[in-house]
Amino acid sequence: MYGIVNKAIQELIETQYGINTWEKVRNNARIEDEIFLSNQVYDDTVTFTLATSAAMVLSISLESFLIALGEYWILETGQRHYNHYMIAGGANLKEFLINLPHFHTRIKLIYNELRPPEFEISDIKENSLRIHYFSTRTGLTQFVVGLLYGVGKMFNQEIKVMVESVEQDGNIHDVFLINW
Amino acid sequence: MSNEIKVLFSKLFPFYFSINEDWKITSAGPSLTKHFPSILGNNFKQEYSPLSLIRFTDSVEQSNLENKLVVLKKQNSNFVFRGQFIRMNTSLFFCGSPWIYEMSDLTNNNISLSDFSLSDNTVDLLQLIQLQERATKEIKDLYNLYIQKNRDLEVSQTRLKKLIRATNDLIFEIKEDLTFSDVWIQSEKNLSMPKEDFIGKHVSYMFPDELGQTIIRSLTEVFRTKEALEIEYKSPSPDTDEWHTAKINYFNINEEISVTVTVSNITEKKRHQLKLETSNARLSTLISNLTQGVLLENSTREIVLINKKFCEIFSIDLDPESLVGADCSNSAKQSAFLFKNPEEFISRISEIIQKREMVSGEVIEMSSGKILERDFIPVFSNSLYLGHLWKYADITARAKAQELLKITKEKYENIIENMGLGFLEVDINDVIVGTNKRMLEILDYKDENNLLNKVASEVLISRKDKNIVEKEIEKRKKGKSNLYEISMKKRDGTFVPNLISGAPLFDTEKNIIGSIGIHLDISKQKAAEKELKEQTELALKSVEAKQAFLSNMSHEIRTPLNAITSSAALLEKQHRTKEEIDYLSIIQDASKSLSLIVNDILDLAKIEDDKIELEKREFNIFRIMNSIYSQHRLIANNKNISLTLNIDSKIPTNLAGDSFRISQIINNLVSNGIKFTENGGVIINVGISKLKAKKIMISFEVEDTGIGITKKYLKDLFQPFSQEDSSVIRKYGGTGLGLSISKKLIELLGGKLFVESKKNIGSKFHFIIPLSVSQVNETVPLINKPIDKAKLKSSTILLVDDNLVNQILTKEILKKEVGEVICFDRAKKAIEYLKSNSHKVDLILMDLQMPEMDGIKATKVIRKEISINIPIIGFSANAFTTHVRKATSAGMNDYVTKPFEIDSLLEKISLHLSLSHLPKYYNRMSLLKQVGGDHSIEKRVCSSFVQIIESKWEILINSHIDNNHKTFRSTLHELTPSIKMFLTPTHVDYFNSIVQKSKVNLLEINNIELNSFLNVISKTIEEIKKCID
Repeated sequence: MYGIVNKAIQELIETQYGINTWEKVRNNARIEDEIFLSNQVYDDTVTFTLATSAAMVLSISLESFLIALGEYWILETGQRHYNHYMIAGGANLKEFLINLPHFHTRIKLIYNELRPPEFEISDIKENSLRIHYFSTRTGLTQFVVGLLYGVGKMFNQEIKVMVESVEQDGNIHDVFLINW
Repeated sequence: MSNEIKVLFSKLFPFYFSINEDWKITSAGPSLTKHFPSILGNNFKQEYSPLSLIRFTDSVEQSNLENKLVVLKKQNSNFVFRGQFIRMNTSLFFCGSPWIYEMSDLTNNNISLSDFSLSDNTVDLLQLIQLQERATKEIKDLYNLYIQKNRDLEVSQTRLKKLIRATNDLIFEIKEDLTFSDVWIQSEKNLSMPKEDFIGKHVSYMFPDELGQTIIRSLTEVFRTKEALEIEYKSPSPDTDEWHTAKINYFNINEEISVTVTVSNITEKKRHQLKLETSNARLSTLISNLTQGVLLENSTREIVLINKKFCEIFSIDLDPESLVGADCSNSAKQSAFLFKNPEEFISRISEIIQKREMVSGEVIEMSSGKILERDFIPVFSNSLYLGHLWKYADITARAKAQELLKITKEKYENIIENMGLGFLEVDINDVIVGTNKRMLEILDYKDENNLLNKVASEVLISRKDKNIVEKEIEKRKKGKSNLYEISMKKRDGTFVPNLISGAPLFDTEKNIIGSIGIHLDISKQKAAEKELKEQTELALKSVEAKQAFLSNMSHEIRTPLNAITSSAALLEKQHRTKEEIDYLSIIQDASKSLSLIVNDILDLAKIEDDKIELEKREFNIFRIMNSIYSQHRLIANNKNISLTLNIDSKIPTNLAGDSFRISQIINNLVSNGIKFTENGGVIINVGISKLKAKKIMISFEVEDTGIGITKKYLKDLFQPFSQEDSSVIRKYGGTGLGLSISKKLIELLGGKLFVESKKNIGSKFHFIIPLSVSQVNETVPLINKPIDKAKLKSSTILLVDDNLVNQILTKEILKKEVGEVICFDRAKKAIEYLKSNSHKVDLILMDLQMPEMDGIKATKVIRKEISINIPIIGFSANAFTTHVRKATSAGMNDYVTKPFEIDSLLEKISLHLSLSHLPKYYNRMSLLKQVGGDHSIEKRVCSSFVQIIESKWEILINSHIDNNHKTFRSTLHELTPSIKMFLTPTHVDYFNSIVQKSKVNLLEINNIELNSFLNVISKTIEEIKKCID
């Protein structure tokens, strides 16, 4: 996984719980890196260990931490790294979500070593749609939920996300029903 | 142009537009129209300007643009387009996209990714470039961090070197094969060989023998466990007494394994440690034996020290020493159940530990009822927290005593408050330090603060009372309580009288620290007292005025009357013509009438003022009734009416009561009966109504056949000065006082007067009174002794009277009966005479009211100053009981009122002449009465008395000398009945005063008093012995 994700975890903890807490999380995860390079590819275990350690140090569930990280990713990391690029993703929530598959295709090309998930949109209605999420990684469903909530907040719109999981061809295929 | 082409252009170039030959825009892509909705139909040249050398002048031909790559600036916007013009038929198509300089252009121009063709990578490339820029920056940051870390490392190394130089410690680096790889030391002088020579040498080279073996074992252990280790050892050299430590730390730096051994000289520390251990041992012993529970914890809440008492309080059944090192972090929860409020106990302990502030004297209650006092002392050393000390003391007894004291205090405060008493407390300087609500009310203050801290004597005391208060304060300062009255100054400056009970206040050292006063507002009592005093004074003045009037009237009438009757009596004894005798008779009758009227008026006044005092003496009713009968029989005969006396012969002859008043009543009723009866007569009936052993009810009836009384008048019959009508007054005379006086006297004697009457038929007055039956045989001739004429003839009478007429007349009457009469008109002259001639005088007749010195004063001088015991008979026209009492208490033996009857005066003189031979101390008369005049009984009783006195005599004296209160009192108590029986009333009074004093304190009776008393007793015995021999 790209260092930008680990960096997001670090920034989230440092800004919201302080540097000392981050040090605890890092020590607890036995990660020696003090700086993560955004464009450097790190082993997935680094990210998962950091997330698990953070949940432990903060005494919250891993799911709760991933949701928080998802929101932080959109509202802070994304804004900082892809600000205008993200805004250009759509003029409103619905357009942004519909453009999500195209947007992600572009990202995949930018980060050539990325194993990004793929998205499909279906059941587009006035106030709801379904997002189909395909990933080779397990355990990031709640991260996606957090990302979606973050998108809602980016457009100042309250949304509801319902997870409808389906497994397909041995890959993870999560279905999210989003209402706004 | 076909629609298919337009759709194709729209997909590939969403910002495309086409222009016709007239330069007008005829079609446009969806993204262009989205941003510029009114672009269609507009002139291209006006909408766009070229950012190149080409100018859209009028001369420019469309052919100039064909197949050219152009950069166009959209007028009135920030849009810049890059693309190519392509000719299709008559239209020129612009195929291009917006040029993005920066990613912010997207948002500034409100462009979204969907505005671009899906195949357009312009934006993505730009984003990629930006991300690369960011990545470069991050690498630069990482490089800077690396540089910084390197610098930090250098600084650390420098500091380490400095540190090593600053310490005396010796530091070796040793490899796994136990050879030295490096040595750090302050100075190589401390090494036995050059530093370089150590490198590669085995450890045993530096540490030989037993110490070397210990170190080698420790090093092997550290390499195995990878845990640091410290050993302490004494220098093996016998010449030194030094101690060292070797701290062994394990290092794995980049898989290169080694240990460092830091050798430090701790000799000094060791010495201090030894001292500290000794001091700790002493402290531990002290704390172990403390009566308070003590627990010392270190900063991590492990027990450093705990004593037995603490274990007892917290019910820990373990040896205190075994608890050292135990973790206390959970102890509050474990022992909370011992306390009345466990949750509060836990939270408070947690709070105290968190705050790390000193707590002192905190009181907590255990569920067993015990009260504990808790102290918490945090221990810091140079702001470093070392731990804390808990101290628990069992203060149950003290707390209960305090609670009791509080309850008692509240009780007394409530009592004081409820009793409506004010309370004022001052310190030693008279400064007010406390008060209560009632005190503020009394002084009309609303706020206590207006009084507190002020000097009481300045704020609350009037000038006139300051001396009193100062004296009382002095008393209190000496520790005495006191009770006094003063006026307290109120807030408005007026005064309110207070009764104050003051008491001093002491501290625990018994020093006086102030005083308290309990104040009672006595303004109402004072007002009532004043009113009562005024009323009493008024009443007394009124009574005095009345008494003075009556007294003067009585004296002024009686004095000349005495002269008249005395003269008449003297004249009567001479030979007179019948006419002269008749006139003398008229004078005497008129005098008697006048005397009776004066007596009646005085009696009535006495009765109304409640001044009548009944006497109780033995009398013979037969003799009295016969006397009355004799007096009235002649008058009845003269009126030709009958007078009959019927008296029951069973009535005892020895009755006791006021015979004088009984005679007065019967005389009055008989005299009235005779007065108002013209025909028929008057009958007197005396009988027994009821008889008991010592009591008798005697009924008296006086019945006449006189004019009778109308029914209408009967109700006013007993009113003073009342008579039926004026004709009666004219015909029968009289004052109308007789019946009124009789009725009241009967009531005083315990009876009631009844009357039955019918007009012109007659009247019957009857009454019943109680009388005592006396034990003394009436035959004993002690009081009503007949006149001893021989004794009179042989006696000398001293007469003192300032009224010369009366003096001459009295002397004339007396000298016919007595041996000699010596006269003086002034008491002083009589006293002077008596001083040297008392033996010549047998009896003194003393007038009371005289100039210079009255009879009362003269009697006192005779009795006390010149101690003459001759009988003195008071002799005065003052007939009030008060005068009689004054006379007897001054020392007179008897009293005669003027005008006197000669026989009555002679009777009294005769009596006292015979009594004057009676003993002074021994009350022989009283005893003889009690024994019925039997001298043999008197002798027996007296012998017994002498025996008793003699047996108790020594006991009484010795108990007084030994101050044996109990024996003295009990002996006096045993003697009391005998002494009262044998001593005269005056000496009995003296005896009683001694008895009273002995009840309080024996020391109250001094030796002089006791000797006087014993002298009286011995004199009494002497007299008794004389009488009975």
